[in-house]
Amino acid sequence: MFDKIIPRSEDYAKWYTQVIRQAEMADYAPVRGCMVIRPYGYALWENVKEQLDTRFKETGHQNAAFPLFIPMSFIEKEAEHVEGFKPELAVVTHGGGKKLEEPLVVRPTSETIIGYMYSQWIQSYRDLPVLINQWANVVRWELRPRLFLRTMEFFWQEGHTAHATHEEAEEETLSILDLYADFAINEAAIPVIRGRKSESEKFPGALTSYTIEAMMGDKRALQSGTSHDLGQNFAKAFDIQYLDANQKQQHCWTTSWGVSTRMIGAIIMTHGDDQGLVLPPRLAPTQLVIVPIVPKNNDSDKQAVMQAVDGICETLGSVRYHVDDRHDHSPGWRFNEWELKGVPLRIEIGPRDLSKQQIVLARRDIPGKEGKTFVPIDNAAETVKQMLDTIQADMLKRAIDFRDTNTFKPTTYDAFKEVIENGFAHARWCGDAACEEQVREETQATIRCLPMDQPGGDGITGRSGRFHTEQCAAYGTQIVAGAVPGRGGSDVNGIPVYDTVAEGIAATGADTSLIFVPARFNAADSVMEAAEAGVELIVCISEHIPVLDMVKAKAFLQGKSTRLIGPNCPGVITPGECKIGVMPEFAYTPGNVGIVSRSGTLTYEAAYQLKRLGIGQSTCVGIGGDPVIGDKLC
Amino acid sequence: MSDKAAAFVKEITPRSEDFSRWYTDVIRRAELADYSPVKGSMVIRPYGYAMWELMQQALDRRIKETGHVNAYFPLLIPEGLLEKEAAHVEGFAPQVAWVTHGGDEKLEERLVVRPTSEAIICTMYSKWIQSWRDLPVLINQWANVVRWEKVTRLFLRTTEFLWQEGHTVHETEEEAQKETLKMLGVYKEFAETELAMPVLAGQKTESEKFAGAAKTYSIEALMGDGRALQAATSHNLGQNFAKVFDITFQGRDKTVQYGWQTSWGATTRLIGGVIMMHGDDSGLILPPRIAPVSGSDGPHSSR
Repeated sequence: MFDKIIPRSEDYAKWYTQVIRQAEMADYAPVRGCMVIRPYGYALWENVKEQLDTRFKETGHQNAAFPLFIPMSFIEKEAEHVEGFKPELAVVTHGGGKKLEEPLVVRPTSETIIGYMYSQWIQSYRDLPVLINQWANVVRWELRPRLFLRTMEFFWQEGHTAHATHEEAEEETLSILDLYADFAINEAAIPVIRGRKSESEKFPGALTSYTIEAMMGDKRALQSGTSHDLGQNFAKAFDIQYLDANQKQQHCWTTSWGVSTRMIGAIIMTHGDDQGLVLPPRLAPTQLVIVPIVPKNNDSDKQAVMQAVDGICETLGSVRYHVDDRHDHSPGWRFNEWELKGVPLRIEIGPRDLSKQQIVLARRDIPGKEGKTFVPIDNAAETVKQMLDTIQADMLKRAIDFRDTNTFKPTTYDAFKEVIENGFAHARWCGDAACEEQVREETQATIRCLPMDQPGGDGITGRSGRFHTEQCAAYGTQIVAGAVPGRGGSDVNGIPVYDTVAEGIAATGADTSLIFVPARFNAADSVMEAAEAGVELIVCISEHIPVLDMVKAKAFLQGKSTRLIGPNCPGVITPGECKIGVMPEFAYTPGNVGIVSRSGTLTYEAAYQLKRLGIGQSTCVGIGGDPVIGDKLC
Repeated sequence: MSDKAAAFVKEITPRSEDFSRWYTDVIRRAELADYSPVKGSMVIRPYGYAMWELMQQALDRRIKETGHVNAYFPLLIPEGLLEKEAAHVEGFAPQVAWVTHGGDEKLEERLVVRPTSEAIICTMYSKWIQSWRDLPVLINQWANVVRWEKVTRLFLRTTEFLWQEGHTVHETEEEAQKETLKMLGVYKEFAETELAMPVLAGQKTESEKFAGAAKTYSIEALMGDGRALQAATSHNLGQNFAKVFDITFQGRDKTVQYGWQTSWGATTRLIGGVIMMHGDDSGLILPPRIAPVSGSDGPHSSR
C-alpha cells in the first residue's frame, strides 16, 4: 500500500491516480473507462449524496426513478440534444436473445424520457410545478477517461422540473445554482464561482446554462455542477403542455440540473497534498482516527491505554471516529495509512501521554510539529469537535487564498496569453463566439463562465454601473459625468463624479441620465431627481422598483419635458453609434429596422436574428416590462 | 366515505373480480409507478420511490450493522467474463441486454448490462484478495439490474429493477454458510418488522436455486390472492465462482486456497409484496414504518 506517491509538481495526473488507488477509493474495471468505487470512496459519495439530498428535499423536491434505457427515437426528438449526445451513446441492440425492433440507448442524461413521462402526467396548471430529482447511473462513451472526473459510467443526481412560467423556471435554475454553491463551499470547503456558460459551452438543448467552477490544485478549472434553464425546448419536443387558468393550452418551462461523482475528484484535487488525500471534516467518512501506542511487553500499560481510549470514545458523541488498534503495525505505519486516507484529525496516545494525562492531537491539514497540540485527556472530546470545525474553515480559507493568488485580471490580450498558463483570468469578452473560438485555438483557454458577481453595483461607482459605463463609453457613448451622493470629487476612469445630478449637469451640460441605482436605494427618487434637474432623457435600468414608487415618479414627470425609458429595461442603442444601457453589443448591427420591446432578452434575440439575416437596426429601445413604465413609444 | 372518495375507489377493480387488475389499478391510481415507453420497464413515481427510500434506509442500516460496507461495481460486463461460469451464463444469457455499439462504433467485444454482478465483482475480488488477512470481504451494493422478462408486472417483475446485492468472501465453508443464513435472518426480520410481512424461510430445491450457487435460501410470503411471493434470496456459492474467477488467498497454513462465497439480494419487488399483502379494495394499506406519509389511509394523491 505504501508505494511512494509521485509529487504533484512532477506529474499531477499520475499523483491523482496514485492517491485514489492507494487510498483504495477506486479502481479500474475490466471495461475500459469504467471504474469500481471501493468502500472508502463510496462512503465519501454517500456523505456527498446525503448533504445534497437533504437540501433537495428541504426545497420541495422529491426523488423518483426513471428507466435506464431510452428509445433511440426519443434522443432524436430535440435537435441540439441529439447533436450533442449522439457521439457519446452506448446502444443496446439485442435483448432477451433477440434483436430489438428499436435500439435502446443507455441514458446519457434523462431529459428525453422524463420529458415524455411529464407530458403524460401534466394536464393543468394545478399539476405544476413538478419538482423531481433522481439519483442514478448514466453512461457516456468517453474517449479520455479519468477516475471520478470523467468515467464511462458515473453516478449523479439529475433534477428535472416543470413550471408554468419562464420566471419560475429561471428562479428554480438559479436557486439550485445557489444550493450547489452552498454545498460546495460549506460542506466540501471548495470555493466556487457561480456563473453563466457561454453559448458554445451550454448544455445541448438549453436556453441558458449555469455552472459552479472551482480551481484545482494544478490551477486548472473543474466544472463542478450545472443548472440549466431549458426554456420550452423540451416541452415543445415532447409536448409537455398544461391548461392554464384561462383554459388555454400552454407549453411548460423546464429546468434540469446535476452534480456527479466528479465532485469527489474535485474534493481530492482541491485539498490533496503529496502525502495523499486531505478530506474536509464535514464529508470525511472517518473524521478522527485514534492510534493507541502500546509497548510490546507490558500488559498493564496496554490495558491502561486502551481503557483511556474507551473513555475518550464514550464522550465523542456524533463524531465519526475509528480506533486503529492493529498493534502489530508500528505507530508510524498506521499514521501513514490514515494520512494517505486524508482523515482530518488523529489522536495519539501512549503510556507517556497517559502519565501526563494528555493526548496528542495531530491535524492532517497542517503537517509536522506545527499541526500537533497536546490536550488534557478530559478536554479531548470538546477539543476534537472544535478542531474539526476549525479545520473545515481553514481548508476553505486555504483554497480561497490559493485561487486568489492564481487569479489574474489582464487588460490586454498579450497579458492574457501570458497569465492564462498559470491560473484563472478575469477578462472582458465582446460576446462573439468567433472570438471565443479564436482564443481557444491560440491559447487552449476556454470560457469557464460569465460570473454572476460581475464587477459593478451602485451607480457609476458600483460594480455593475462601472462595468456598463465602461462598456458604453467604449461603444462610443459620451459619458460625461456620474452622480453618486457622497462620492462627489472622485472619478471613474477619468469620468468625474458629482454628489447630485444637478451639479453634474451644471458642470458638464449632460442631457441624458442612465440610472443603475438599485431599487432598495430608492431608484424611483433618482428618476425624480434627474427630471427635476432638467435632463431630457432618462434611461432607467434598475429592476424591482415597487409599483407605488413608480406611480409617484410618473406623476412627478407629468408636465415636465423629461422622457423616461424604463424602469427595468436594457436601455437604448443606436448600433454603431451610441449605447445607453446594458444590451450585449454583438447582437446588433447598423441598419434600417427599429425595435421596441418590453422584454430585454427578447430584444437581443430579435436584433441578433435580424443581424444573422443581414438586416441591421436603426435604433432599439427596451421600454421595460414593469406594470408602470415611462414612455411606451406607441 | 365521501362521494369523491367513493368515485375514486369505484375505479379500482375489486380483488375478487380480477386480482391482477386490482393490483395495477391501485399502483397507478396511488401514483406509485407508471408504465414507461421502454417495454417492460417502469417509472417509480415519487410516492412509490419514497417507500423504497424508507425500505432502503431500514435495510441498509441492518446491512451495515452486520459488518458490511457499500461499494459500487460497473453496470457493463464484458461478454467474456459472463461466460466464464457455465451454469451462471446458462441461467442468465437468455435474459440479458447487449450493448453492441458505443460512441458510434460497433464494439469488438459485446457488453452485457448486468443481470447480477457476480462476474464483475469476482473479477475485482481476485485482484484485491491476497491473504487470509484480507478476509472476510463483506461488500454490498445498491444498484439497478436488467433482466429481459417475457411477462412483466409493475414492481414484481420488471425488465429493469432496483436492488441491493451483497457479495462476501470467507476463509472457510462454515463461515460462508453462517453468513448465508445470517443474511437470510436479516431479511426475515426486516420483512416482519418493517413491512409487517410474515415470511417462511427455507431452502430452494436444486432446480430452483440460483444459477451457479451451491445452496439457495429464500423467504417466501403469502399474498392476498393466495399465491406465494419470493421476497428475498441468500446464496451459498461455495467455491464455484472462486475457482472460475481465481479468487485465491494464502491461508494461515501458508497454502493457497480458494475463497468461499455468498451473495444475497432484495429488490423493488418487495414494494409489490407490500401492496398485495396489505392492500384492500379501497387501495393501499401501508405498514407505518415504511409509509412516506403516516396517518393517511386509502389512495393517496401526490399533492
